[in-house]
Amino acid sequence: MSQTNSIKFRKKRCTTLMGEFEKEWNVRAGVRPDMKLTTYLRRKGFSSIAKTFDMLS
Amino acid sequence: MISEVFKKNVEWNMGQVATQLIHAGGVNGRARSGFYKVTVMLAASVVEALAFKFLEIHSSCEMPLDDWTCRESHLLPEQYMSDGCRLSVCKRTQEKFELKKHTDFKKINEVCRKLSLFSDKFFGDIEKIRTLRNKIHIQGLEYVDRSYTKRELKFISSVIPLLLGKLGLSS
Repeated sequence: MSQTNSIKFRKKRCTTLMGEFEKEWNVRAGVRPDMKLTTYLRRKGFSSIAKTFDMLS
Repeated sequence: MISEVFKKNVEWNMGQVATQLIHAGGVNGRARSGFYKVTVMLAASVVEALAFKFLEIHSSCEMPLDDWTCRESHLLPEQYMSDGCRLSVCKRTQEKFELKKHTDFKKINEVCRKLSLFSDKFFGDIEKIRTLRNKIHIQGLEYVDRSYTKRELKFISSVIPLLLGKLGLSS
């Protein structure tokens, strides 16, 4: 892997998808499993919580 | 600066917040309010932890003086009474503030303001969050505490990215 690709790889954001989240926490949100958790939170009006997940990931 | 364990614990608590929000979306009325109350307590505990970490990374700053403490108290003879109470003398000392694992949220916030790490506005916001968090002590409430909405959670969660930014976790 070239240095550029390596940097890109390290900077790639780790996003949680709703399907994974629902499985991990045993909840059903009733949305598409490929929706990002952060998108779900933003649509529910919790952009700061979505931002928190972005910052922690 | 910030350990992986700490970060994972913050993440887990935020995961709990998201889970409770999903639950809240599936119910109405009192039940929804209950789920929001849980999110308020969880998010407020994250704010407290982040404020603690923020002060911890500034522990090399010149710390302000702490409250006066009374040491080596000695009772005066029984003839020295005041309103039926025995009197004593003690050695009063005032030492520099030292951050400890059990330092309370109020103190952390006050010291951050004294050190100008928090602006007056930010201090006020954290105080509001602390007051909300303290509603977990239901024995101290003088009113029927029922109504929790997404408003309180939105307010608390607006502070979390700001603290993460102060801790160097900017997106």
